[in-house]
This record gives sequence, structure tokens and C-alpha cells, in this order.
Amino acid sequence: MRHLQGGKMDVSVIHSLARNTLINLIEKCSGTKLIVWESSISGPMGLIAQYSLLKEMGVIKMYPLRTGPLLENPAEHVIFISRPKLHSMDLIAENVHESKKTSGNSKQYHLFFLTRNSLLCKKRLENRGMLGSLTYIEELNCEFFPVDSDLISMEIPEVFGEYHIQNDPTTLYKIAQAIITLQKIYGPIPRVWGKGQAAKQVWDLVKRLQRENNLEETFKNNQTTSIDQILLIDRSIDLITPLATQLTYEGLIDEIFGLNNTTACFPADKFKNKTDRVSESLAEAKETVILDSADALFTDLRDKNFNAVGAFLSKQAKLISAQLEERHEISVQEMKVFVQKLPNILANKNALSRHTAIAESIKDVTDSFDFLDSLQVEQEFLNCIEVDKANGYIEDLLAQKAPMIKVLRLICLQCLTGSGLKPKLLEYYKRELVQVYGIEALLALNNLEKVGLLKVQTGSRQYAVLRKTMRLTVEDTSEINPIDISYVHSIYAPLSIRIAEQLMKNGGWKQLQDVLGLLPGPNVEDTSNIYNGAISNSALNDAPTVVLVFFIGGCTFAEISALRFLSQQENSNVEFVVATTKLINGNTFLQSIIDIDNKKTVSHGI
Amino acid sequence: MVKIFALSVLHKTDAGAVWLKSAYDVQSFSYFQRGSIQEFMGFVSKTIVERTQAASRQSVKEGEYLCHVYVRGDGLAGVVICDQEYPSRVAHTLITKFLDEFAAKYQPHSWPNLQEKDIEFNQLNVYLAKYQNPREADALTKIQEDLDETKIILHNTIEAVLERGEKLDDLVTKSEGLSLHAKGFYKTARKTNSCCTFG
Repeated sequence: MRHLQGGKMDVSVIHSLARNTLINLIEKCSGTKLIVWESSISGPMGLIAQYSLLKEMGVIKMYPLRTGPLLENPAEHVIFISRPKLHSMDLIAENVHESKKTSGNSKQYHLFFLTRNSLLCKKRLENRGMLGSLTYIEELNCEFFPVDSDLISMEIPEVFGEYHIQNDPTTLYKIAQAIITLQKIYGPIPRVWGKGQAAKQVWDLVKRLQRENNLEETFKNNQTTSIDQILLIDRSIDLITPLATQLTYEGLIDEIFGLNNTTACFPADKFKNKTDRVSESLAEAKETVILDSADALFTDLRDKNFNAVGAFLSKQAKLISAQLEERHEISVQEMKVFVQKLPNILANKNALSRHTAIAESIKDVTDSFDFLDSLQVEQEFLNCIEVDKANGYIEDLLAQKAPMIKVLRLICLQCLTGSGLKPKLLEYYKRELVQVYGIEALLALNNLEKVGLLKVQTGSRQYAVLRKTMRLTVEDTSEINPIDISYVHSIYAPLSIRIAEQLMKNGGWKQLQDVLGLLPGPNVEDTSNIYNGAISNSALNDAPTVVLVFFIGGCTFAEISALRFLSQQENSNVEFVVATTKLINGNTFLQSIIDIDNKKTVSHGI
Repeated sequence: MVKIFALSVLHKTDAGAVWLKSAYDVQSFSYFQRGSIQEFMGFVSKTIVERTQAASRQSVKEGEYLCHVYVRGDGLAGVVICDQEYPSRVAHTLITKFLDEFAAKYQPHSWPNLQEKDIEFNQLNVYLAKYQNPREADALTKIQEDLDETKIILHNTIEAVLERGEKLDDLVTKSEGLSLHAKGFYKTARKTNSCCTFG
């Protein structure tokens, strides 16, 4: 996990902590073990511990948590690892009862909550007659998953939906606890900024928890801190950015193929050689690729606009070609040096091959009429063009019964960029949607309205004003050699990142008061959090200011790329690190809102 | 074809060169010529040694033959007569070798008094036969040969390794294809930007 150490805030610490916590818990049970993972956890846990590590600790098998009897297995311990969700408790109870029928009392059953115990869940287990059957009920304190050297994620998709639709602030409490954990690891964060209702609530909770648990004294004794500032962003202040199609390399991979916990699956045909391609039937074959900063070529490519990727790959190909050509004219001694360099060159060639295949797969989609037509409509909306009338392309999609998420995404974008839809237009769209997609559209629309993604125009054109004052749309910006963060969507600069940009440039909220007034929710400003003269690492040696940007409700890869771009600017003295409750894209974001009432996703932890 | 025709050991004094021992391989010549050739070679060896300074080496071309001579500082001299293709380095190594052996066998002080018929030095014949194939006999040549062969094998192996996976040329072409057709994503919206705008 060396690649996690690259940044100013050392993410590998989080990785080791989480790993050790897991190891300690698992080792409490001596003997062979079977782990049953709740489905949303197994993916992120892969970032912490590989199966090989678990095998060393006696884990013989792993299953996902689902209904039906637990399969026959010779393990002495069965460990359930789950988020505190009522639905999961039911499944666990079912599994244990079934298992007891077949194996009697030969096994021990344990439950580890990620991340905290839940009274409600324990009650549920009691109601199911389970409490006597579970030997250990422990907390697996793994609040953040280390995705990369400048990115950590809590991987909780329900945060946005639960808070804004169900008015359930429990996850905010979890987030507050997570921030306190961060301060315990990295030192107290002296300056705090934030925008949005959720941001304020989270920070109030943090302060309260700090007071209640007398943490202020412990923090005072901390002499250094790795994080200088934190910016809490409530997703609801910028709902447009997740809906805009990401155009960075990593962003497109997520939009098209899905990038989960640094893993993505691609159709295999572009990965095969010319000769192999014809012979096998490749319709269903998939190629799984790990994409993180351990792959040097990926690190160079990930934040680039996709149109710059081809040229970069081409340059790499020629470079490697030249390096390999050397072999023809060298003497025996030089040959020895060459052979030593060879594995490295070959690894680069493999990486090049892999990414060329991925880029080709992406290009198939981005060259399609579907994609380009959608993109055009998106860009029209972002430029406030014809946002007040029914859009012809959307109507076409409805007529073709295109996937509902795709249509909803465009309609919501039109609504947001028009600062609402005219009542007649909103009615019209709703009618069409229900007609085409049935009752599920109605449920979806209900949730989208609750969240503010669909609403009626109230008169003030907030987006239009923001667009001008914050320079959200930029013409003729270079995709290949970008000079502005708008390159991540080719013409649109993410509002959330513009805010961060301005905040850093102005050193505070003062100059942004007008803009902030247009955005929903209160401002958060706390410049003396546990001020004790704690010297930040950066102040000590003139290093850049480390700013943790925490997205409450999710953030996209394009936003992360934009922040990296800002960090790398010549005149910037800021280094951004990103924390988020979930990595999202437009589709997954909308889906999580639509699915929020689905009991499988609802979390009940405290 | 490389061939050694004669190996000779002589002793050089101020008075001239005294022939001590020889080995000949004149099989390649016709039967009737052999005698005279042998004599001729003996004469050439003697002359050459007389004309060569002490502690020096020489290689002299005589018609189709090459004579390599080494006269040691102590007066002992060796001559190798071979054809033009025979590597001279090997020839000189050979001379040094058999001279050293001769000197080990027969003490230096005895050289002026040695008569040819008294000398038993079969080594010369052995060497003559052995060194007909310079590659086998000479360690250095052998190593050079092996090295060249290894280099070729290494080269071929590297080629094979590089052939694995996708061909580099394919990658170059593919990536060029990717960059050539990349239209700007914003160009799609450009045309509508210029006409009516709302809000």
C-alpha cells in the first residue's frame, strides 16, 4: 500500500489502523472462521484487507449476507460483519437459526458492526431470539476507507437521501464521529469552513462531542497537526455538478463502466490481441482492472480530459518504442544494463496496452450519437439555453423509452439550470414520465421533489446569476492543456470547486457573501477550533496548506480531478485532500435518492 | 581452412640459431613434395629466428604461409608456421606455451649443448595436432565464441519476450487513432451558443 503514502495527509495511517482493527477482532475467535459480509461492505473492505490476509487468520470461506440457509461449512466460527441495518439483522437471525438446525451447537456466531453498535439493531436481534446465540458483538471502527493517497471515503450511499428525504440526521452524527477520529489521528484542525445545512449540523455536533468527551484537553496537548483547514460541503448546495457528465478519464470510466473501490470491469474484447479476438466468443467476457495511483500511467491519465488521453498514450507508445529500439545496437555490457531495465519497460508496455484498451472502450461510447446528443443538451442547459421549454431531445428519449435514469438526469439538470421549471412544464414532464414508465416514475418523482432536484420556478434565477458571478461556464477552454477547472466538464466548472477555489484565494468567506447568499443553507466558519497554538506541519517548514474538503452527500471523480488541478497550479500554496461520504456519479446519485425507501438500504446506526 | 604446418623450438645465440626440436604436419601436401617442404620450413624457421631480436615477437608472411616467431629473452625461440587464416593471437599463445614447457623440461644452461637427437619433446606433436582446431584448443577463442553465441541467444530471447502481449506497433497505431479523431467535447454545443440565449 505504498501508493497511499504519497500525500501530505498520510492515508496509509488510516489503512493500517483499519486493518489492525479488523485483524484484532477476527483473532478474538480462535479456530477456523467463516465471514458473512453484508453486501455493501465487502467491496470497500477489499481496500483494507485482501483475502490472502484473511486466509492467514484462519478464514476459510466468505459469503455475502442473503436470505436462505447458510451453506454447509466446516468453520468453527461464523462472523457476520454488517452495517447496523434492521433488514440485515433479520437476515442474520434467519441465517443463524437455519445454521443451528443443521450444525447444532458446534459453531460460535459473532457479529461485528461497522462502525458502531446500534441499540435498535440489538433490540431487533433480541426480538428474533438471537441475543443468546451471538458470542461476540463488537464494533469494527472503520469509518474511512482509504481509496487513494488523497482520497478517503466512508462509502455510505444513503447519507444524502436519509438526511434530505427522510429527515434522518443519524448519518450526520456518524460523520461528526468520523471527523473526530480524523482529528485524533492527524491532530486538531484549526480552521473550519462550511456551507449548507448538513455542514453546519455536522460541525455543531463535532463541537458538542468534543466538549462532552473532554477531547479539547487531549487535543490541546497535540503539538502538531497534518490538516490545516477543513471545508465541509453539503451536497445540496451544488446538485448540478453530479448531474453533468464527467469528461475526465477516471470520470468517464465511472460513468460508463462503474468504478467501485478502485475496481472497474470492462468488456474484454478490446483487451485481447488481434489474433485472439476473432477466435473466442467474447460477448460476455469481462476484464477486471484495478485503477489507483499504484499504476503510474493511470496517475498521469486519470485527471485529464478524455480528449487529451489519446495524445498522451501516443507519446508514451513512442517513448517505449524508442527505449526498446536501443537493443539493436548495443554491446554486451550495455546489454546487461538493458536487460535490467527490461522488466520496467515491459511493465510500462503492459500498462500502456491496458489503458489503450480502456480508452478505446470509452471512445466507443463517447463517439456514439447517443452520448454526443445528450452532451449537447446538457451543455445547452448549463449555458442557460432554452431551459424554459420542453426539450425535444428529452421528448425523443421518452418516446424511445430510454432508461428512466437517463431521462430524469436531463430533466433535473434542466430544472436546476433554469432554477426551477415552469409549473406547466413540470406537469407535462411528470405526465409523460408516468405514462412511459408507470408507477415507479411517480415514486421517483416524489423523492426528487423532496430533495429539490425537481421544483417549480419561484422567480429568482439563481443559477443564471451564479453562472455569471462564479464564471461557471467558460468558452473555448483548452481540454488538452487546461488553464481552468472547467476542463473537467469541458465547458462547466463545478460550482463546489469554484467555491473552494475562491475560498482559498480570498482566505475566507468575506468576499463571497453575495454568492453564498444565493446558495441554500448557512455558512460555517470557525477559525479557532481548539486553538492552542498548535503548529501545523506546513507552517513549520513553509509547505503548502493542507485543506481537507469533505463532501457530505457524495462527490464525483471530476470534482476530485478539479481539486487536484488546483493543487498543482504553479501559484497555489494549497494541497487538497478529499473525504466524502460516497463516490458518486449522476446515475448512482439519482438511483440512491430514488431507492431511499428501499428497506435494504436504510441504515439505523447510532 | 586454418592449419598449422610446423612447430619448432630453436635456440638463438650470438652465433646464430640452433634448431632444437620440430613437429611437422605436411599431410596436406602431395607425397613427393613433403620432404622438400619440411626442409624449407626448417630453413625458414632458422632464418627468421636469426633475424628476430631477443624478447620480441614477429609475424612474417611468406607466400601463402604465415610464420609467427617468438624469441625469448633467454635465447629460447619458438616458431609456428601456419596458413593465413590461423588467428595470430592463438599462434603466439601456443608458442609461449610450448616454450614454457620446454624450458621446464630442459634447463636453460643445457641448451647450448643439446643435440637434436637427444631431445625428447613429444609435446610438440601433441600440440600440433591439438591446435589444428584453434577454437577448441584455445580457451580465449572458445570464450569469445561462446560469448557471441550467448549474445545471439540473448537477443533472440529478448525479441521473444517483446513479442509477448500486444505488439508495440499496434499500440502506437491505436493511440494515434485515439488522438486523431478526438473532437472537443464542447464543440458540440458551440453552434447553439451563438444563437438565442435565455435568462
